[in-house]
Amino acid sequence: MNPKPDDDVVDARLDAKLARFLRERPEPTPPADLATRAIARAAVAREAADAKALQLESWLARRRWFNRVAAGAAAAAVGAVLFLGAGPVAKQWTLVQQASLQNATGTTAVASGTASGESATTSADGGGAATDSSSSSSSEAAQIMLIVGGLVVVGLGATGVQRALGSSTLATTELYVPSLR
Amino acid sequence: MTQAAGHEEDLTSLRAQNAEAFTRLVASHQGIVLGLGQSLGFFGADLDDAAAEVFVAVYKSLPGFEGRSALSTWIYQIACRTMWKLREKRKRDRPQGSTEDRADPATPTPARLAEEADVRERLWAAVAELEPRQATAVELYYRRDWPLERIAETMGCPIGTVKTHLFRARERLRNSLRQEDLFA
Repeated sequence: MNPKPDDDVVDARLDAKLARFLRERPEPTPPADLATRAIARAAVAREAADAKALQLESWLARRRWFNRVAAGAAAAAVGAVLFLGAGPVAKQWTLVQQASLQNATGTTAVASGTASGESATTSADGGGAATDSSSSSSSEAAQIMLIVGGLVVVGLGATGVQRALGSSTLATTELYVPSLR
Repeated sequence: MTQAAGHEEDLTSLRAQNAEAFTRLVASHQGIVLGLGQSLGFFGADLDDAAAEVFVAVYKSLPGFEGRSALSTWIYQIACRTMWKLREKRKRDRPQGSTEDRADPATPTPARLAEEADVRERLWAAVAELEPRQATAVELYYRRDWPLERIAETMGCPIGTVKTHLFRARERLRNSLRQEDLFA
């Protein structure tokens, strides 16, 4: 019975055997058209990548277009609300101002009426008229500001929508695709 | 001087993806690439496909070749990475123990192994069953007789790692082969 060889001997023999047997292994036959096949596959892969990039760009352009239309429409809606709401808001503002003024003058009249009678009432009336006119002018200014602001926002929104609608998806795609190639 | 100029011209044509220059490049490197594929367990049409994939990757990357390493080393680096990826993919796609990829007549089937009991074929089959990096190290060290430095550069790892791959490969091969095969 042969003694069991130690690991070093086995390794050395395995090394030698590996080297010999692997070198003796027949080389595979190379396909005749390997280069042509590789070039053709690379071309197909490039075409696929180009098509994918085109698809992606087109999707991005559509999304940009949609975002612009949405933003423009939202701005136009806000502007319209401001514009249409200017009148009622101003009217409400005037009423509130007048009510607070009446409250204030009523209290003043009561307070001073006990002291100097009729003259106090006259002065209270005069003061009321002055405050009334200033309140009305401030409400007019607010109304004008709201109307102008509303018009500006409507204009900006409408311009945005118009520009978005003007730039077609195809045109945007055509702008981007050559830069990818 | 003339040779260096010719080499530069070749590189320029290759970077421009010139078909003729690329065909020459494939012809001079396909042997090593196919041998690597063979040791990684690719045979027949699979081997041709794997080699084609390697050269597709080379062709695509040629315009970006900077010449920081030798062209051959750069090609074999791509070959290793591509083949390892393909081997992993094949392992995922095909269940372990599947022998459908071994249709090549030169490749031992279990029946043939039993019949011929050829140690060489047993050894080749065992190498193809190794981990991809171990099989690569075995192929380049034993079959191609490359120095460890070149193998390390090609495989993109330190020399110590190549030695470890070789050590583990030997261990696995020793376990797969019978003792009497080793001393035959």
